[in-house]
Amino acid sequence: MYRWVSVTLICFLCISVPAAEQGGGITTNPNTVNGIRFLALEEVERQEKLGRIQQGLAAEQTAHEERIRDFSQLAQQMRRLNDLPNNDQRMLACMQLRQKIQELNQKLKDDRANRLGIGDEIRVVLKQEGANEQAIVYLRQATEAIQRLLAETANQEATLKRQLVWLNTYMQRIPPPPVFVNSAGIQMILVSAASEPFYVSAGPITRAIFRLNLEQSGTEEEPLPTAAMTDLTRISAEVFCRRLSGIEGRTYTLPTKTEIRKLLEAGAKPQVAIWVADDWEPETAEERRMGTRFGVSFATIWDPANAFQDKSLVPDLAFAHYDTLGFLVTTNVEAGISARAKRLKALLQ
Amino acid sequence: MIAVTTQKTCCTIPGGHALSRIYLPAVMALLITLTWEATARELRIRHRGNLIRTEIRKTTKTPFLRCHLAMTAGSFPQLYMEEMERLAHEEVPFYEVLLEIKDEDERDRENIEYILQPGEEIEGEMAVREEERAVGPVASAAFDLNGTAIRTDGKGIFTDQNQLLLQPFDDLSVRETTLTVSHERLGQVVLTLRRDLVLQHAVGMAMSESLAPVPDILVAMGLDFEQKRQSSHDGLHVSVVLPTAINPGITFPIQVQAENTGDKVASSVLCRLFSRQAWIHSRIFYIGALNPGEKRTFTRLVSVPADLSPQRVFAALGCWDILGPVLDRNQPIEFVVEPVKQEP
Repeated sequence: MYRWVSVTLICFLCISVPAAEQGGGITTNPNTVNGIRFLALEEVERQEKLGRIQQGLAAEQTAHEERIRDFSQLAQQMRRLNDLPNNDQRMLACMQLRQKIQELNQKLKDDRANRLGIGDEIRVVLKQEGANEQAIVYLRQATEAIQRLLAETANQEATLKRQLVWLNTYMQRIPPPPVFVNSAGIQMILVSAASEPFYVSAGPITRAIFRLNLEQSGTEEEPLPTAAMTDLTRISAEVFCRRLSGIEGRTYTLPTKTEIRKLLEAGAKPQVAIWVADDWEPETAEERRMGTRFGVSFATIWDPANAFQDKSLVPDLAFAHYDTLGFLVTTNVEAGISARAKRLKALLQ
Repeated sequence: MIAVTTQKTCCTIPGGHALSRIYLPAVMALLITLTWEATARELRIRHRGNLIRTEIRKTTKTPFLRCHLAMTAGSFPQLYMEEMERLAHEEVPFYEVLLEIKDEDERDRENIEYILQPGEEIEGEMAVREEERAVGPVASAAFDLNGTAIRTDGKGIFTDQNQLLLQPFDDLSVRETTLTVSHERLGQVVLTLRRDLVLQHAVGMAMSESLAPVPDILVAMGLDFEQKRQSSHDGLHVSVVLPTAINPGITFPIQVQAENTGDKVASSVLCRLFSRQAWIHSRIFYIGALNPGEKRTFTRLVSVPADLSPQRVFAALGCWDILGPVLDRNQPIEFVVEPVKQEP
């Protein structure tokens, strides 16, 4: 109240200069009405702005010190990653760090916006007429301070970007989990961790899992949940893989010949024969020609228990089905990494 | 000897010792001179004229076997066994005698005279002439076909009920195969069979020609594998017929029935079995050209190994025609080899 009264008094006391006399038409000064400037009002506003600039600058100084502490903590946590006892904990810490980096990045963006805002305000005040010398000196010092802080923010943003890259690289280097259980309940085991790793189901897909995923109604007597799903064609096994891929959001397939070789090297020996994703490669050129000519190809069966022949790999038609023939599913290493990330994210929340 | 004879002759002239001493050498010389003169004047040489006749002095007969594909309709090729005879005649030709008369030193052919000598003949050199002739079909006889015992019927026809002749051609890269057929008396004959999937057909061959040698097995079975210019397999329907019970050790037929319900000819239709089981794999079913509305059946026999354990057997029938694989006509085949039921 007192403030407005004093402003009004100052206005009346002020010597006003008609704008028309100064050769101006329409003026852009908000404190000018019909060519009359309210110098006292301008001064009050200037004082207010200066006050805001002063407060903002102080707040940004505090924020800057806070960011320095944040960066210090971040660097410290990153250095300690290797001291963690296992990959799961490392991955968890990385995820936490990534979250922190994202938060910090947001803070830096806010800092930049605030500082640019203060800078704009300083420029506006500097452009206004009538500021005293002391104020102008202060404003110039404030400009330098803001520019310095903006430069610091830019440095911090660059540092944060580098840290994020380093963290992502570090996360990528964390080996995939040796085992994971997908949402369909299939336990997947990592094979050939050294080169071209992949996951394979811990055993032949069971009847219970097969029925659950394909929503089949049981027409025969209820089988044991752990019994392998056998007596199915390769076409049925492939349909299962496609549905499983849809459920999991990851590609699941039958094992390829290359994967079978790696399973053999790893000492895997399922008790039933297994459908292989690859078609059978005919042993003679003539058989190959015949297959092409008549449009008939053979599928491949991995027969580690020699249920069909003495050979480990045998051909058969894709619509064949035997009591001793089941299937495994494989997926790529990203599925395991993704499953672990999903599990750890749940822990974070 | 001559000297003695001459002396004797001299002594036989009566009362003319002196005369003979003086004139006899002169007379002899004259006679010799006259004879010499006459001989020098004219030569007579016998030549062979035209062949009058041939005389067969000896004939040797050698029986042998002739074997070739016989025309048939169906899935079982036939071989016709025929007894043949190879006759070896030892012949002597006789020629008329032609006398050549000419002066000794005559060089001009105009002055040489030839005179036929009636009633006279010259015998030529002996030669052997061979001929072959059909004796007749080797009916109801036992043969050996590439190590397998076979038998002909009353008309000398062997019907290949086990499709031994088709088996080598189940490999489509084989276009020719050799058969060795042996008979105890008639010996052995080697027969070359061909299988040409682009051969001009011989369907409708007259019966009189049906026993003529045919080297192509598809032609012999009355199949048309001529490539048709405008063909389609849109109306082609293929089905497989199997017996209900299949046991280890049996031989059973697999019948492929093909029908063309389209309005264009289906050309060079061919089907093949694919299976993990070697005893059923790669059997080829020859259908050939199918005119609109036409049906054809081809049967192959398959022998189940006696030691095969009871199990499910899967096979696929692949279909092909001149336009390429007919994928949507391929047939899945599934059957169970069941254990032989024991009689109570």
